[in-house]
Amino acid sequence: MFEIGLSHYLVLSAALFCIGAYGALARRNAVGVLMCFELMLNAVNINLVAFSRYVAQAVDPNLFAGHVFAALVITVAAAETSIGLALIINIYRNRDRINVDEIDLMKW
Amino acid sequence: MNAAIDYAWLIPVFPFLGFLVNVFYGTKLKDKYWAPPIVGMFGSLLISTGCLLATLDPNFQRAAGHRFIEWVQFNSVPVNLGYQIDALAAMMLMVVTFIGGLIFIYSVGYMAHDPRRHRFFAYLSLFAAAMLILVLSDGFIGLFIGWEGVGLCSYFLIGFWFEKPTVRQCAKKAFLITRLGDAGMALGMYLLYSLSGRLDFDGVFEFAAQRQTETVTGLIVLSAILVWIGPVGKSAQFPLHIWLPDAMAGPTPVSALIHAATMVAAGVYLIARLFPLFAIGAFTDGLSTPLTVVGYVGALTAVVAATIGVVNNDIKKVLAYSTVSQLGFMMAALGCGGGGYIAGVFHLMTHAFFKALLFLGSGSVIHAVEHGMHDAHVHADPQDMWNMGGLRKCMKTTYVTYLIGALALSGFPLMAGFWSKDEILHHALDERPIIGGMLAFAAFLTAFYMTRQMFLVFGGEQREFDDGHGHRHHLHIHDSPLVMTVPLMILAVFSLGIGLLVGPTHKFQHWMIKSLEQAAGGGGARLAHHLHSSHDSIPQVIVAAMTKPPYPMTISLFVATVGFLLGFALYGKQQVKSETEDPVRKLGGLHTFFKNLWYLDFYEPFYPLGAALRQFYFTVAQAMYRFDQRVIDATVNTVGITGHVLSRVYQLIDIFIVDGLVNLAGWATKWCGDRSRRLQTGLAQNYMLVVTIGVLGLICVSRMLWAGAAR
Amino acid sequence: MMDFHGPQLLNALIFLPLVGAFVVLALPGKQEGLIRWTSLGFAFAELVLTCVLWRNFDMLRAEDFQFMYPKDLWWIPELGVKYKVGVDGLSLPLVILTSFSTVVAIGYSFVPIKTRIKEYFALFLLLEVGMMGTFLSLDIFLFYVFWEISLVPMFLIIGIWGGPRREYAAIKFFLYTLIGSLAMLLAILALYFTSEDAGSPTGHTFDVTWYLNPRNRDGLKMDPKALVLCFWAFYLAFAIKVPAWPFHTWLPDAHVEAPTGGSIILAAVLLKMGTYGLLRFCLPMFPDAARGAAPVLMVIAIINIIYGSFVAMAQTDLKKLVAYSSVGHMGFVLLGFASAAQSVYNRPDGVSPEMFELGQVTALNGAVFQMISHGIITGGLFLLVGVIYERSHHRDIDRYGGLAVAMPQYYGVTTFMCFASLGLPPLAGFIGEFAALAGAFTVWRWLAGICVIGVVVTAAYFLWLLQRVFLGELNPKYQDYPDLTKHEKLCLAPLVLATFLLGVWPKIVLEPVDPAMQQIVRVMGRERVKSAQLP
Repeated sequence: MFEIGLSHYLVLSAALFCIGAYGALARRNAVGVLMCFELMLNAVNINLVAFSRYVAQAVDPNLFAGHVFAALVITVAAAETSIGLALIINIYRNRDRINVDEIDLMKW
Repeated sequence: MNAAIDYAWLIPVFPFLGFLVNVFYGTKLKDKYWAPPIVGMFGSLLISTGCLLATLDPNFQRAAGHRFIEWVQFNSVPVNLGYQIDALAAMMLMVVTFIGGLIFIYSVGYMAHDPRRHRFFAYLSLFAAAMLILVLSDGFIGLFIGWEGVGLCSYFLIGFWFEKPTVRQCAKKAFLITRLGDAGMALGMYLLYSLSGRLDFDGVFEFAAQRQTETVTGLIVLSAILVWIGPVGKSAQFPLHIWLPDAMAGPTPVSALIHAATMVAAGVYLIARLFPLFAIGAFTDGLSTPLTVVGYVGALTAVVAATIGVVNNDIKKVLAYSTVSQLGFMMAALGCGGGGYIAGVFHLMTHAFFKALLFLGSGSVIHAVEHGMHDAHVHADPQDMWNMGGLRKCMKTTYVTYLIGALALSGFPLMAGFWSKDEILHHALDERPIIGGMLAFAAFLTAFYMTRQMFLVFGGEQREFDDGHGHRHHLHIHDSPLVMTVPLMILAVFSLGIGLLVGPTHKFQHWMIKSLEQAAGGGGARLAHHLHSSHDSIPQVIVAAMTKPPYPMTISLFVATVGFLLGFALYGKQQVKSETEDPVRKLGGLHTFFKNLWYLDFYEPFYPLGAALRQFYFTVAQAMYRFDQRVIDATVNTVGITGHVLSRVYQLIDIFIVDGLVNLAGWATKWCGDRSRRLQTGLAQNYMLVVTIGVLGLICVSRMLWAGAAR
Repeated sequence: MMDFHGPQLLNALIFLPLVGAFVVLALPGKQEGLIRWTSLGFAFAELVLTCVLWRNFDMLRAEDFQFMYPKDLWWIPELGVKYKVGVDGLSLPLVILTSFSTVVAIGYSFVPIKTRIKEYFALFLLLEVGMMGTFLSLDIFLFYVFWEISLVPMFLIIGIWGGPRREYAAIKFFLYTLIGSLAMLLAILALYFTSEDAGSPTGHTFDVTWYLNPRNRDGLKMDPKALVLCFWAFYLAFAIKVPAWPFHTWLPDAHVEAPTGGSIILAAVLLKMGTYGLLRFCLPMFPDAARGAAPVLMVIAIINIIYGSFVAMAQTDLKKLVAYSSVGHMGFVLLGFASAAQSVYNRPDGVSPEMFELGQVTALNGAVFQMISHGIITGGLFLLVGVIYERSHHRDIDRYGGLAVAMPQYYGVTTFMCFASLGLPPLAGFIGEFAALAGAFTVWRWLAGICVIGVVVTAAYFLWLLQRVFLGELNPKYQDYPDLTKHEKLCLAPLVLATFLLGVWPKIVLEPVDPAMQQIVRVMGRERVKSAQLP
């Protein structure tokens, strides 16, 4: 039978990460960039949990640091997203646009 | 008598004190300005007499007359300064102090109206002191001191009336030409010193008498000739005789004292003193090379000067040239060996008397004529013989004394000059006939020009002068005061007497030769060998001197008579009206030649040679100065300017390079910043992209670098 | 009189003027008389001390250095520098000349200096420190220090109180001399670093007595070629000071622009520092180099004499004429120096080695005597030039004439000095010239004979000078010139007396000098001198 192992989850994680990375770098819409951040972070979560489940727990069921780390990441992601959204809303209120290509006030 | 010799050092001191007194207190002495110098001379005269008497003692030894002190030390070798009294020195002392004293007395009268007369006497005293130092000295240093001293005083005395430009020129000429002679003499001195290490005469004689190598003997001969150059200048030998006639620009007593009796005789005196040195040398003809040179040049001088004297019209200049000629006689005599030595020295003594007499006499004449002209408001040259004439009637004393002097000079029998000249001619004709012949000719000319002078000045009638208003006057002339004529008379007596004293008796010869023999010291035997060409010993020389064959005496008598007769024929029979009719002019071209001093005066700016030399000399000086300024100093200044230029360059380097580097650092930083800030696009995604690429890069790099580690 | 301990006497000689300078500087500037007399007082005290030195000098040991510190007194031990002072037969006359000339120069400067008097006199005293120290120091470093000390006051004296071109002249003097000194410094250091002295903390030494001791020749580990270079370096420094041709051109400018007092001291003493250096250092320390250089040195001496006289002939400025006559006279000193440098193997025909040596010593004696007599005579001449300059404010010879009538005393003294300068016996100028020539003639023969041309030319230009200035028609504007004032007479009298006295009795000067000169020749020859007692 086709077993779903660690490598499948890692590939999934890598794929999601890359999609997220591409999106974060290439999307015009700021909210979209945030969504891609989320994607990247979640990809990392998958990675972490996968390793924790398949590597650490295979050795010792008490080693679940990966799971814990993933929980931490979710928290941080949530906080960071909320701040990011707050910033975006502020920008939208000022400019009616949230096109990242136009936010370059810190230009030289 | 030895006491006199002990105190002989005082002989120059007295006149020197007289000089000092007159210099510092002269103006305060007022009428008695002549006292210190004359008293000084008198003191010297006394001591000199004492010395003379001491030397006349038959047992007198040379060493007894020698006193010295250590003056300085070189390389611990002492150089001594002292005096040496011997026959020659004693004789010369007498001449200088006695004749000098008479001339001092004469000068009181002659310079009575001169505003600077106390100065005059000061200089006279200084001169006397220097001359006496010269006479007394036992070595070259003392001699040189006296030698230069008399040169100095001669300069001051000739240039006494310095307001006149010609006078200044003449004084300078005299000093410089004698200095030229002194330079040569100094070279001779140095050469002797370098060979022998001695500067005193006795030491030099000792050295010369020793056996020497060829080179050294040659050098000794050379040194003698170099030393002789000094007398060439001082005693006015050809070609340095040119200063003496110009020295007549000084007051007549000066001419008498310095340029007749004493200073010019110093050269002859020196050669006589150094005779043992001069008698050394090449032995081929029994007479030495230095003496040959001395002799021939002397004879030449005698002839040249006599010819010039014949055509001259100035009373003093005739006497001046006559002096030059007589000095030539003396030198020529010395050049003829031992017998000539005696004759030359003898002539030195006699000449001093009658030449001084003649000069003083001429001074008397000039004095009188000048007063006469002044009174008659006539403006003419009081020294021109053609303005005189007939003075025998109004100046009897002067005339008689002058006549005696002239006869003595011409070699009239029984006068002093006769004996001495006679001796000279004898020895000259014996040893060197050529010299003898030249001297005989000169003697003839002497008699001639003296006769000419006598007739022009004293003979005939007084000339008439135009006083500018159409009147023709005779001058009112009277004889000079006693203070001037008494010395004349005394000198005349001596001119008569000295000859008699010495001539026939031969005591003089004996006295001199003995002294000379002692001077030669260790070289006496060798010297005797040279004293007489026929290799006689000393006594035989004297014997030979005593028994003279008749012919020289005849010759001298003959030439004197011929000269006198010719002079009488041309000038005495009938007074020549004026200078243009002067019989001497009949010589034509020769006359001009003689008148222009044979074109030999290289100092005068008038003669081409003199002018050229002078120009050359100044051009050289100017050229050197310009070289100094434009080349050497320019180099120094260039160095200085280079320093300036370099400092500017450094300044530029400092501004642009050193400081530039500092500025460059700042600029570079700014440039980097300028370029780097373009990275700040302000776009978040760009930053993220950079981060991503960076992280990926880091991962790759770290994997590569630590590939094998930590696994 | 207290009995001075030798070294203390020398210290006093060097530092008394320094004290004097400070005292004078501390005086209030308005008190002109006080300033002048104080400085004269110090100068005079110095002269008195010099006489004490003279009295206490042991003539029999004149060739050794006397009054040195008994134990070496270290000044900068880390650098091997001692404070060593001493006097011998060569330095004694120069020391006396220095104090004597300073008194005369200061005394004369009473009248002409009217501005910034305090500084002037203080500088003068400072200058005396430098001069004294130069002559007395026996450590080369110390010598160099004093040598440089003497430069600055002179520079200031010329530059502040001088004539119209004073800045140029002062800078020229200063820089020119300094360049030479720097060359000397290099040589000094070279000598230092190649010397091996066990007695010194650094292993090297600056001690002059060490260098002058022939036994220490091997302790100087320097390549002979380098020694020659050092010789020339020293020579350069001293030659500039002497002044030797062609380094003489600073002298006319310095003299012309300097105030009279400065000129006097410049001519009298500063030039002698150069000649002193030549005799003290160049000859005994570098005998082989000197022997090799002897012909060149001789030629330079001859050029000095003849060139100096000829150029003097062409002058129209009175002071420049005297300056160039100085150049000529110093040539005689160089003549003596060159004669001592000549090797006995090059002696002329007919001269034995004993005669040769006699000639060398005689020439050296003449050189030293000439130093002293030139100082006195030319100092006097500059003073006399100052006299007429004070009255007429120009120095143009052609504009003068007939002064003998207006100023007979001045005429007398100037004539006296001019004749002394041209070497008339029995005045001082004769002895030096005579001895130098006699000695040089023994050593070189005809080359020395050329120098008599210079003697004749000297006579010519002095006579011509006297004639142009004093004789002839009296220019009416000089009619009312006052003759010598009491002040001037007072300053001149010692000079005149000294000129006469030294000329008549040269032993006064030469007594200590002769042994010292023998010593130099001995040291150069490295063997004992045979005294030339002739049969």
